Amino acid sequence: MKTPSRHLPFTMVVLALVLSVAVACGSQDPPAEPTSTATQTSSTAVSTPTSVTAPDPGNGTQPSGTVTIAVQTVGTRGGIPRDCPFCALNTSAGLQETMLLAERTNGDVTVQPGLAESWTVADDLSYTDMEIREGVSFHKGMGDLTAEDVVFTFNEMNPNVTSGAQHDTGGDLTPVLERTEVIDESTVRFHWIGFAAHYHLQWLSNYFEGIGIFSKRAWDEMGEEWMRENPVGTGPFELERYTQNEGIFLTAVSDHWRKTPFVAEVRYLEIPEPSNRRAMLESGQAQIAQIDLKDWSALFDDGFEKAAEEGPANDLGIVMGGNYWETHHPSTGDTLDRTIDTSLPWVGNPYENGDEFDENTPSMQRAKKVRMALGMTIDREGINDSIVEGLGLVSNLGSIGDNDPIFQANADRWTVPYDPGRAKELLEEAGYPDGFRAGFYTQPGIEAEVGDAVTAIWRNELNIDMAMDRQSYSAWRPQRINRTVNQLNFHSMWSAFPATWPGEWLISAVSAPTGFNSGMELPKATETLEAKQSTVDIEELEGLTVEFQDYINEWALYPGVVEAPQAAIYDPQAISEWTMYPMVNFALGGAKAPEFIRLAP
Amino acid sequence: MSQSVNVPINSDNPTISLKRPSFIVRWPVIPSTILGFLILLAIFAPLIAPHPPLEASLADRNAPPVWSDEGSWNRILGADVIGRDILSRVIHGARLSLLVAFVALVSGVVVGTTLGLVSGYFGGVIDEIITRIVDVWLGLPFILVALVIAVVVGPSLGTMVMLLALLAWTPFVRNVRAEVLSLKSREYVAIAQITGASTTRILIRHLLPGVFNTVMVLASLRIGQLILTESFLSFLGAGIPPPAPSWGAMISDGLNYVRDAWWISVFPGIAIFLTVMSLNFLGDWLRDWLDPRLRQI
Amino acid sequence: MKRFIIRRLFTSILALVGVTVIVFSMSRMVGDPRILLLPQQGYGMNQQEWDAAASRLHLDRAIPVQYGYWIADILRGNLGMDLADRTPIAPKLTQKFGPTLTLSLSAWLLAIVVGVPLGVLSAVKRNSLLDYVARAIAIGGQSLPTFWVGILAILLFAVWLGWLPVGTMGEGFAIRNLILPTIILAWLPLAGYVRLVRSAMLDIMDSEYIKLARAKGVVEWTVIWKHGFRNAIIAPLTFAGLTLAGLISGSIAVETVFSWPGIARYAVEAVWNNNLPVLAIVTLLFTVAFVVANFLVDVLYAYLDPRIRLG
Repeated sequence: MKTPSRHLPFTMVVLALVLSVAVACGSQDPPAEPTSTATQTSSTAVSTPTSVTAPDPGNGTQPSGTVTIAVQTVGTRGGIPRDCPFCALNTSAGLQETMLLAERTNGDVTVQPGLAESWTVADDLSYTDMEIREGVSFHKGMGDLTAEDVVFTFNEMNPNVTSGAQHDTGGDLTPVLERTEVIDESTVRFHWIGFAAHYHLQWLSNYFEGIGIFSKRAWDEMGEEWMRENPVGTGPFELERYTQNEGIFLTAVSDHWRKTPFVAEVRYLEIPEPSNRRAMLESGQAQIAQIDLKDWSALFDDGFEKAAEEGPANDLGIVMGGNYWETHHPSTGDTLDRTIDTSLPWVGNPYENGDEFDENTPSMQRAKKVRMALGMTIDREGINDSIVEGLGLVSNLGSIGDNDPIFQANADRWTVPYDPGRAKELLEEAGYPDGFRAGFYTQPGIEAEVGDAVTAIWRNELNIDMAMDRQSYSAWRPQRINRTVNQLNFHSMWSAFPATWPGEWLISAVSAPTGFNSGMELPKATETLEAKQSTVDIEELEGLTVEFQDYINEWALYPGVVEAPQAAIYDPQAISEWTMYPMVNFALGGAKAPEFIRLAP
Repeated sequence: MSQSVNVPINSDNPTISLKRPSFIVRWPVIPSTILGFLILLAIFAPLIAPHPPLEASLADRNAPPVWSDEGSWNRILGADVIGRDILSRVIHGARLSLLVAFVALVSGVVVGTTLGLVSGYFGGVIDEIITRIVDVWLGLPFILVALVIAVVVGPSLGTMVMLLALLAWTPFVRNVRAEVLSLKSREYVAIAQITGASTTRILIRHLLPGVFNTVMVLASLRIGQLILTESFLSFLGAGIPPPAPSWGAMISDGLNYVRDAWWISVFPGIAIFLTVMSLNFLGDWLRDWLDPRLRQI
Repeated sequence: MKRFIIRRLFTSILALVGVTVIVFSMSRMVGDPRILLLPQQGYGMNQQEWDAAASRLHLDRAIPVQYGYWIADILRGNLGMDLADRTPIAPKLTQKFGPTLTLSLSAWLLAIVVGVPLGVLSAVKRNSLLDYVARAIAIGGQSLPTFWVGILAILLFAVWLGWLPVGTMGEGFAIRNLILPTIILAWLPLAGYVRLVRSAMLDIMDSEYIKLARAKGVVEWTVIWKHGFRNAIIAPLTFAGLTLAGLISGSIAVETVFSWPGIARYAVEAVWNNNLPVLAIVTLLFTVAFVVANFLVDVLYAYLDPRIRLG
């Protein structure tokens, strides 16, 4: 069974490349050779549009045929820019388009022109100017794309400009994008709060949380209610019908600037039962389906294939929930007043000896031993071979992927051996020779299965009695927001992007009071985050990353278990061709870019 | 209309003409045996089960039952996703599922019977209030309400017992009340009232025995429904939290694997079917024997 | 009769009010509704938005006042917003009502059309093969978990045999897609009808009245259908309310398993997403359906059987 070696082998390259764009800037440069080594920094990410992104005159014939895609959920309707909780669906389904397009070249991801034809970054990195492509038209006769549309979209969704905006990406933009401005009728300026090397790729392309451009004219002329029902975009597909819990039904735009689709109709059907999705794929009722990992091997044996691009791996790191170690909000300075429940064996209180953070208090030392014991009693290889059917990758640290170049350079220090004997000694030293009882929250699916397996090993080896909590995530999530998590749980986003990107806010108090948090608040994370956001120097970023991972590893705060791949599976008998954009957003089960789906004759 | 209409059907009780069936003849042998067997399994689960129910072995992931080609006697009914023994879990599941249903039922019986006695005996405002509460409760879509409660309280063994008890109590109120209304007019109750017996004494000594049969019949018919509801709530993710081996949770864990490892969900499903079916047969028999008027339940 | 109807109407309204109180309490038990307004990722709300949300949702008022606002809104037809996409709930309910109605109605019809004759025949031909089959169907329907049977049925009929499509509603009125969910949903009420009709028929057939008819030489067919069945059918009528309750909980299972875009699935999803406005409205809707149906059945029953309205 082969182990796909996906997961960002391009870490450094992306950073180096995008950084070079930032400095060298834009489309005035001559087209460069595709780059493939991590050390090369002289080239630019802006090459001439490749066959993927260029309009495809070779398509010739009119779109024809229908493709049916079975996915777990089609979310909710596209909405309006300031109120669009599942907006990633719009770009994923080819309904709307992003300023830039991500492209994979020799394994590296670069940004290519999209709705923006070229761009320039200010010398002081305070803004990016983008030139809007001409002759791109909106659906439903809403005219051509203008700078107004772009500014309307970005300002409406940005909570810094529009108070209370609820776009799925908008919240993440709060510390990133100050506002957007029209410079002239074809130029838009993005004012950054702080610029990081990867921002173009992360925020303006379809790679991560692509922001699709809405039509201002539709807003002005048709009004809010109409627009909620009719999310107008510039994409190669127009929305024919959206029915919640049933599906998204799309029709092809016959003469699209970028890519006229091969198929005339695309139907994304919402099929929540995984076994039904598989059955639909096998019986030919669907040509593409979102399939659970456990069914992959059987389907591959029957001739089905995996889509060209996978989504982000399902990275299962164990959050040692309850370690709320920060006392003051990093930016506002407000007192946080967290409850540190040291009756939880893995939770330490650094303030037992006074107001100063003291890592040597009895509970800190005891909890550290418990966390180390838990971390070294995970049979990562065994779980990867059985539950993940050998298709995934073991993960030693939840805060960095095992195939990240930085991990590989430090693998000797950060690899956690499977050693139940030593773990038992540690638990005895910590005062739990007979184990303990606690709770572990998992979401259904692979997370629940891996959680069952991990806790079963703990039960066998350490006599730890974990009750599995599988209530709905929405019901459980307020604990994360309120910082009252008192269970172990899985969370990680680091497999989706390089470890040098500032993901530490997930385990920092910086997003308090109402923002997302994994279940821990670590002063070290806040410190690292602030340092990372004040530099674009790649070596410095690497240094900060290594220092932070050393800390996480030493204190066993974030044991990893396994990274399970996710991808759409399709029937090659029915689909002869399906190229894709690279992605770290798994909307629509990874069945993206339907404009590139070509049905077999 | 033919003339036969002139002959009135027995207006009080069309079933009264039915002879009480003899105990021996109609006693359902097979269901009783199955149920007795399950109860024995439940009581002696740790002695009978070949493995501890929570013991996992990743090497035995989805191991098939013994009669298939790769089966082994170590895993008689196969193993589940993380290599736990299905047979052992089904045996321990009998313990858990029967216990939960039984505790919930008893709570429901106690509450429902008490309310029914009170409501029927006192009548008036109390009766009206209790009857209306039952009406309201019956009107709610139970599964949705149960899901919300599970979300609010958090799923646990106790939550499940509480939810099933909330489902169990209503029919007892209604039928016990009706029974008490007819008993109240009987001579012996009147005599007790005249001789100055306390209300509590009348309720417990005179009326309670009178409604005993009704309660037994209702309880035997209700418990199957509780077991089914437990499994459905587990399927929806609001059941007894894993890794506890409840039949419902086992089914829902295994349904996703039904293509490749059908034994994970099929055996606990069969266990539920056999249990509920046996209980239904026994309930029917109890009803026919003790209280044929409850036919229409 | 009039007095009975008025009394029954009054108690139905009382029940409805009681239900609204329970549903409202449920929606407040879950905690601060504003938590649910926070986006799934990102940095949340600032203090002003937080306070603004409180006054918009009347959270700054006393609980009974909040209940008053809620009821007033519903009575005015303002069913509130779906938290998932912040659009009004009412049009969505209309959209999802059709699939649910189609499925429940066809299941109910199937249950009656098959269940009632089967019950009669099973009673008439007691201890025949037909009787055993009918009783097996009844026992199965009452003893098998619906969701389990549904998934196994998909496996058997859609995957292995390939006779029917895998559970979805399909486009337009796709009758092939309707077959499997209808049968699965109908099984439980069908079992109920078989059992009730059978036992009612047995009682009637044993009665003096039928014996007399037989003694008078009335043709057996007439005895069964005219005298027996007509009297036996009253009993299952009382079962209508329970059937409806069964269909509601059954459709939760069937709509989930068969990816049926109806109201029950909308409600289950609302539970998982803490989408309380939706959940409250759907619960209320189901309850109203139940209470109204029970009211109509009681009136009809009272009309058919005068003893009820006197008692």
